[in-house]
Amino acid sequence: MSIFDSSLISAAFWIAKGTGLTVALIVGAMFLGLIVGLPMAAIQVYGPRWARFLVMVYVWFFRGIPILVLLFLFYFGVFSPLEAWLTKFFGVRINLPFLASVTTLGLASGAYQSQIFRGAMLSLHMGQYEAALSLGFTRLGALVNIILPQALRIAIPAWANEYSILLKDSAIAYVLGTLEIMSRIKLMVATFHMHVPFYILAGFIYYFLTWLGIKALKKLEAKTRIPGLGSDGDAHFPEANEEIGTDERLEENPNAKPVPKPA
Amino acid sequence: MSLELNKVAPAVGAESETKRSQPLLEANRISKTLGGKLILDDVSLSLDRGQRKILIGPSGGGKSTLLKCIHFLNPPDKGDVFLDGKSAKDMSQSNISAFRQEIGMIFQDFNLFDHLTAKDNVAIALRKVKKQPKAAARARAMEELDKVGLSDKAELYPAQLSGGQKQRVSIARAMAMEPKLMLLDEPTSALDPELIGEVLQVIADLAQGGMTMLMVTHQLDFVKHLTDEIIFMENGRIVEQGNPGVLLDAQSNSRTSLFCAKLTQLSSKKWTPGNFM
Amino acid sequence: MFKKLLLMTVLAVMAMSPAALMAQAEIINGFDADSFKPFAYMDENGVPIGFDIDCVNWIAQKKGLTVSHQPYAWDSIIELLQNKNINMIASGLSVTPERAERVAFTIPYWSIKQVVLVAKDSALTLDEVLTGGKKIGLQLGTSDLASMDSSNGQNGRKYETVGYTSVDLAAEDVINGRIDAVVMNDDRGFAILKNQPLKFLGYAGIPDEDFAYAVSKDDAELLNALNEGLQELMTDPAWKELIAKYELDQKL
Repeated sequence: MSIFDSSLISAAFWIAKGTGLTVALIVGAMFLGLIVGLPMAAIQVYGPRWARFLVMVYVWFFRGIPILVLLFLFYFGVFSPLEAWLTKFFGVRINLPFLASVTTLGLASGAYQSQIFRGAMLSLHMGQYEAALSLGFTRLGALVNIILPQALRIAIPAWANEYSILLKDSAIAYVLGTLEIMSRIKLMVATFHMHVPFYILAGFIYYFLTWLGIKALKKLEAKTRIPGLGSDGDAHFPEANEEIGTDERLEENPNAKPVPKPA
Repeated sequence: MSLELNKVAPAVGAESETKRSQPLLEANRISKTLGGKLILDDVSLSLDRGQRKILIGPSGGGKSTLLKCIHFLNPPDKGDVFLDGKSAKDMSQSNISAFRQEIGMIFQDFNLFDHLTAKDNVAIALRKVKKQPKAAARARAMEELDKVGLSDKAELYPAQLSGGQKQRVSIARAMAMEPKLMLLDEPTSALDPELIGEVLQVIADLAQGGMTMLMVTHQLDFVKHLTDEIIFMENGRIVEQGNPGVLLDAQSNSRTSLFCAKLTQLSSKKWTPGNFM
Repeated sequence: MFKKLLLMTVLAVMAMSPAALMAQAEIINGFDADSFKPFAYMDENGVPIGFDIDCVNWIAQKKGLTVSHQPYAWDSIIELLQNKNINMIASGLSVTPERAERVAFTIPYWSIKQVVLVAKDSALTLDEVLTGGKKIGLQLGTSDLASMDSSNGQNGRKYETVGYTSVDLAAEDVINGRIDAVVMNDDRGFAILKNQPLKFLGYAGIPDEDFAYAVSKDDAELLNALNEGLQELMTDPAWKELIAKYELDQKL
């Protein structure tokens, strides 16, 4: 069967449409991770001992167990009975594989994101927190108005990294039959008895999604940049720039210090 | 630049008998342990309205910690703090927040909020803590910045300001909250020598305005003319306190004068190899 | 800035909600996410097709039922039926006593033999494969794997079973020499032989399997509907048409 056979093209399109579900998976997981990870980070930096302990237990659990095991754990342990119960009492049918995947990926990502935000918060001088308290902010007020706006900005590069990891992790959701990209690839592979062309297609799609997401996050980073905070004044080497040939920081912010030329 | 210290009226001092009312600030038997070490040991002091007192002493003597305890940034382990007679010890979170609003603090490291312009730095507490509307808060912020001479720098970020400018912004920020009392923790120690003057000028202006102040500093010249009382702390205890003139008199052999003499000696001495002591 | 964050969160949740809910189909038929050609798989447009799928659609139409077909991981599909996450399984499911304890089966609608396939240029005989300690690949979670394992060591049978997530992968390993043979259903074998350099060696010597649909044990209504439907279908000319469509009449 030639690679341009019309049925293969249809299959490729169908697979590409799975991108919608993959994106929904990622977006859902990233945000669940954010909602879970941010408070945990705050607790780890500012909270009482017992709360810090609980957070550490959570983080160790989700970092220590492979995501595949977690997926099945949540699928059979939580979502399967939950779905049956919901159907029985409310007649509502939930998309079991999708929700189980989003939740598992999200909670696991939360563990990693908490460490990202914790690092960002710690990198801020404790003095700013003290100054906020001194002005009359409550602890929560200081956290929300002073610490978080800065910590979130600082965390963007690491968050972009988490995004690309999560994107690849999402492929594992195929074991639950979620009909995202990977599931569709496998179904088409079985239908056409062809492996390599389909996996190459999968590779392209994932690469494109990674590229898109990173680009968007870099834009966000540039837009929210504070003069002097984060990467502006850091020494960095031209080779380390992602865009070869340009120092985009100079283009965006003419006040930034120019890149020191290596000797 | 010369400081116009002689314009400052003599402080309402310990001699005045007008104080039938209670002291503005009273720190009562403060003790604090940090990291297993006893930093403050049963320290007490008080300030009347309009008084200015200075804390001096060797590093590690507990001066900064005392300021933070008074401000209830780090609540003391033992003892209490009274502001206008109100005890801070068992206050709830929201009351502590109100308590802290009445005291302003200037830090050695300025501690400006890096993500906000100078104007917003001053305005943010007005907006979020005092719940003032944005425009009013900003207008008030500009007033304070004007008083410290930085209205043209209002839209700059802390990273774009010099050390002296940052400290002046932090003073504007603290003053915007209209505190009853200012605590200053080595306000000029992190500044380059040529920038110290502009900050001291602002502090002098504050003093002229009648602000009650408790300051930790090494700036001796400043100390002498401005204060009502010097408090010398060492190893978490107040060792001496009293009138500047008396304590600093080289003849008095007070611990204070010995310490200060050392400081002057160090700053004016010409170093040559072999005479570091 | 926080308002933006909040807005994004709300949008994210909204974007996800269609994905979070299923079409409220009356009946969900769970089939093998790794595909079981020709009984249940997907066409190039993502539409479920296959002998079982088409039969169920025919029955559903006759009986006025709404059925939706969804792929699930095969090794947990029985649990899903027990938990009532799905309503039925029509996916080349073999009847076994262990399964019969957990779910209810309809009347059998198909019977298959298990065939042994080896590489086209292999010199092995059927006897050698089944008694000579050879490596035989099978799909995990299937009844033929269970049968092969349980009959191993009896009556002179001696071999080593190797599990794969799909029969296709097992077939590939036969082609590249990692294992010696693969055992699968005869119609599967027929389909695979068309594309792959394998040859049919003989029957695996385990009992023929019956295929039936499975429903939850307390879903008598659906069970009856399916049984009636099957009986109707098997006497209808559509039955022969479907068999021909999926080449199930071409035996090895």
